[in-house]
Amino acid sequence: MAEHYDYDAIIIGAGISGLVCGCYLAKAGLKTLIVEKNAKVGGYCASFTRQGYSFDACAHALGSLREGGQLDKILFDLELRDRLKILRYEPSYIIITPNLSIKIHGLLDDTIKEFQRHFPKEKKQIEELFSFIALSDIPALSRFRSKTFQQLLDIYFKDNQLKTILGLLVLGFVGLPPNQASSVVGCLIIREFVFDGGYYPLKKMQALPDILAQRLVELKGEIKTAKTVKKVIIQDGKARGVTLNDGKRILSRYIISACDVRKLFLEMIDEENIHLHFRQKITGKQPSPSSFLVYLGIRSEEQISSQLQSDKNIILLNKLDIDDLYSSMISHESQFLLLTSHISTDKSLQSYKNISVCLETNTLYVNDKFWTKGKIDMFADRLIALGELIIPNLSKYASLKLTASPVSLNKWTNNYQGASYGWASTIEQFCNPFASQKTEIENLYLTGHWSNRSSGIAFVANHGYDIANSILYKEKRK
Amino acid sequence: MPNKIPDNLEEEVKKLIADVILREPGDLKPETNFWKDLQVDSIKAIEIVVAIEKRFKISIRDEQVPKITTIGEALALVKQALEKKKE
Repeated sequence: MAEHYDYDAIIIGAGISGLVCGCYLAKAGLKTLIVEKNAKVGGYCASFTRQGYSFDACAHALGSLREGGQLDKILFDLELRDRLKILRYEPSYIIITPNLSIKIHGLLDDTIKEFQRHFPKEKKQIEELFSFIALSDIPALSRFRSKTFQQLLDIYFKDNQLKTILGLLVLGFVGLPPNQASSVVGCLIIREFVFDGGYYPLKKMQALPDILAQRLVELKGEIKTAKTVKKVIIQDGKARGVTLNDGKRILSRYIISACDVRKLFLEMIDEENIHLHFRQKITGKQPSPSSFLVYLGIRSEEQISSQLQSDKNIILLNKLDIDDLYSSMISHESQFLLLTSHISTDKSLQSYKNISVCLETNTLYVNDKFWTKGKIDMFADRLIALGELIIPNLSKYASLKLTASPVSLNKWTNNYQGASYGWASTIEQFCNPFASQKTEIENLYLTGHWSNRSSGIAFVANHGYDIANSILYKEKRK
Repeated sequence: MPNKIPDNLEEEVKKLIADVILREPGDLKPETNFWKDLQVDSIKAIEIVVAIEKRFKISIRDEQVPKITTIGEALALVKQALEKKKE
């Protein structure tokens, strides 16, 4: 007799990876359910509103949306390309150091020219490395697979400031200093999120998860929000379903975890179903750092700086040495940040415009006792002081100030230590198959930034696509 | 420790590749082509190379990477590298 299942596939977590995976499975006709612990979908790609100001919780922009880019391809497949209105900043990013301001443009040639103008002695090398990162095929990129991103920079450049600027992009977007980060991951991140970055959905970052969730429902998939998966049901070495916190058991032929991998293997799956050495491996691996964010709400009726008159992505480095910048991060005294600002019209008061400013930097979780109110206030003040190097008197304009510490990020997403990018993309951990997307347990798969591949919205979306494809291939073989 | 070539090398290589590209080892035949049959994208190609190097503690020469187009070629390359390491 055929076994009874409630669903073909259950996905734990409605972040971008889980949503994309769910859409592909539902599109192929599989009965699909996503269980999300929060009341809304999106994970790190969510946005929220307070006192009329809308803020992006964590992720601030999209990348890989050029025609044929990873995210573009997924939106095309899911027939969402025309439904998600996206604009692109020009410049995509402005990088400010103590002695220069440099722009990353939408067109690679313009970016190359901009960097050549600032670093004329490195003219030829800039063109070579930037073109290599943006355009080279992968066998060429794989030449540097055993090198760190710093070693790659040292091969190409002599100018320390130039190396610091490029190194900071990796520190900022991967959370690791260039002398620890894999050069392949560094190149991919710069290619997909910096050179092809600066895209922004018209209705904030939340628009992306929202449209994916809407598409999933159109494709007859289901989402249960505000429901937590307590256990994954394993029988005879196979994943068979999940038990929710309210005790409800839901059976499914496939389980896809798009949530924190430690929570999955150390809490949701009973000990007897996992080999001890695997549990030890998981606990011994290095997560990426977390982030600290300050959200400021500003009314435009105030006499505000011209810097706030248009939407922006600004990266600030307050030191000219990458080691100093990394030291500042690990000592919780960050000397770099990303400032994003967005203007929106307040519908209730047409004369007003609301400006939402977000200041974000990488930091370490330490432990849940570390982030006391005093520490959070001090960290926020430090970040605002850094922000004021870009926009003088920023704090005076703000009528609303909110913060998110690593503990808040951990609570929001369940990511271990509030990790921003899943596993740390070190040389040792990159492509080290300790947590393959195909797990040791039959019919249990991993997706998202804990599945041991590159992190970032476009990459995790691609992981979701890969897992869906793998399951659909398995179905076809039956 | 002597660098012994594992008896089940073929299975191990297939399992490693299958894990990266999310297929079953049984789907992989020596003549299976990474690009045409498995639609391996370029990022996964690097992941396969790195995973093989880490698992077998070998180093694949850069000029050899673009030449690997089938499972059989990948296997031959691993064998060759392990033989060389043994010498």
